Amino acid sequence: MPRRILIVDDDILVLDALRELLVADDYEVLTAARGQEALDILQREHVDLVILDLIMPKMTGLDVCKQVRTWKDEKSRVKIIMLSAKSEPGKQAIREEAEYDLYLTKPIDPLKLKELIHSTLGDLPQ
Amino acid sequence: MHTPELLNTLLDSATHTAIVVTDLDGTILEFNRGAAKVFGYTADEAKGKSLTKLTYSEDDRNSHFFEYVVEQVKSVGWTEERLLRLHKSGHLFPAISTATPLNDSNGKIRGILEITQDMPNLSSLEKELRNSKNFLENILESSIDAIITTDHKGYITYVNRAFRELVGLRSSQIVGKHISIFYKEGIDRARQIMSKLREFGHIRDYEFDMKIGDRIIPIRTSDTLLYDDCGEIVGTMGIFQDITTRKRLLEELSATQAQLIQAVKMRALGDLVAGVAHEINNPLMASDIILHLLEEKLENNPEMKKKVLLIKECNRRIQDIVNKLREFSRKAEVEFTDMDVNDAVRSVIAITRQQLLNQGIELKLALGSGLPKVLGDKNQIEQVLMNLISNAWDAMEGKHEKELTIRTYLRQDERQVKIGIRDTGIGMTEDQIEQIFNPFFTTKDSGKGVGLGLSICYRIIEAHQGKIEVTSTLGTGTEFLVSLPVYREKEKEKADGHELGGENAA
Repeated sequence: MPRRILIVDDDILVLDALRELLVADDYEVLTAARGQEALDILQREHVDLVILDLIMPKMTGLDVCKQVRTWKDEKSRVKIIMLSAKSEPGKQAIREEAEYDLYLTKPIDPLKLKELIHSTLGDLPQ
Repeated sequence: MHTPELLNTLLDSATHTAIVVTDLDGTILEFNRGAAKVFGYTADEAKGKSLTKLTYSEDDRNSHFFEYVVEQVKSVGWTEERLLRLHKSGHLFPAISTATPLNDSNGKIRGILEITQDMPNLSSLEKELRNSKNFLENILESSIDAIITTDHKGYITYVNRAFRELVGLRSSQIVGKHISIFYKEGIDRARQIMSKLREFGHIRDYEFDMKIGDRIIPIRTSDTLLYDDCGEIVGTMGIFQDITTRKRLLEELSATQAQLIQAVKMRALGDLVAGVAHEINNPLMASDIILHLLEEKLENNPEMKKKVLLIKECNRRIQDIVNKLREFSRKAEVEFTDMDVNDAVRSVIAITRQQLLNQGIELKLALGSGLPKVLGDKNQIEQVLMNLISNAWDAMEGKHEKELTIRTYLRQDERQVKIGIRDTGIGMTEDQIEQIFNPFFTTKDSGKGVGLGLSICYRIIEAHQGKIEVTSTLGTGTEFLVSLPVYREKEKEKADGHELGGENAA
């Protein structure tokens, strides 16, 4: 069964490009353009990994990440990669609070991104 | 008709005025009560004696002054004299006398009538005069502002205490000298001030550089012409105020203001650039991904793949620029870290290299190897270098040979790392060099700069406990030399108060 990846980004261009990239790599891809939409999908569907844009209107990527980590079931342990055009916030506290797995800065080399997605998923049982 | 009694009564009623009648030889015939009071003799003592013997000073007696009086009376009809007269007690006193002729019934002159008043008020007038002179001098002497007067040719006639203190000289060393010795521009400035004075009668709040030995002091002066009773110009008076402190405060104020303006500007620019960078990065990444996918599809079409790779290269360039902009604009927080000046130079060169090339400027780098780190804010140091490079390139506009040399080296003895930025531009005059770090001073055409850049550079380097110096030759070029103290671990400890990175060795 292919791995399921949810891409969350308010920029449709980024969303489409990432989908193309990951579909070509045989992932099953879901997309959301808003934080709340992402939370709904995560509640409803099984997802192995979320690629989460940091800056989005209303609910930011950090908000989504924090929310997910408060859930009481195994859905709260979904792998999360933050992907942002802003460099990583320097404060250690933010990282600890949000508990994301990886922080990547846009633009990132597609090959490198695929590699990192692969390794982040790597320790999950097939 | 007159009676002798009436005459005597009249004469004696003038108790403070001496009325004396003599014959033409000066023998006293009448001597009223006033005369007794003025000269000290009784009428009996005086009558029949010589007027000159009793009441003239020795000098006047020897010069036969009475004969002169008689001559005057005979020829002109009267005379008035101010003389020192002799009192019976032997002391001389100032007096004013009027002499008129006494004629007989035939109109022939028989004697002299002399009316004399002493001038008792004279000494008190003198005292008053002296008091008022002291009073005025006191005012002049107590003035905080330096006061100087000259004659109409500019030779100094008086200086007050404040002036003497200002120049550190005694009155005797100043009075009689020409005012122009205190003007930096000498006689030219003196003429300029005098012609203004002649035109307007006075000058208010005129600023000039005062020369005192080797020192130059900024002075604000107000001057007026001095006139005599007839309205002739007899000299000038100037009030000098040392405005060194005021000027320095003003400069500091403008510098602070400049820094504030720059800080606000940089903050706004930072926000703008961060926003733009963010906006560019999204489509850039999308484009990267699509190119990547295209590239994979074109394994068998090397011609097309080459073109895709070219577009990818374009994307890398865009990304580089965005990154540099972002790094450069991150000014909000000043962060001192141990930094490599060569890194800063390379960062700035990465941004400017292409533009320098476009301007036909040849870039020469002579970066020292193994330089120790310095403690500084990389962004700020880059800002300084950026500014110096941009100035260098402005200075070389229109020159045939454009060469920008950036060198870095260590001065072990000073424990300083130096960054030199030299251009082959138009250079600067001594005057310009003197002012180059002043806020709002600029040698550029209006619209090309407001004159803030270097003053901000100066402040930044100052905050780094460093130095920024300039050497320049007119027509040949200019070099700015930035010195930054070598980083020591202890300083870092002080600066951020926690553990040390272990990599300051170089």
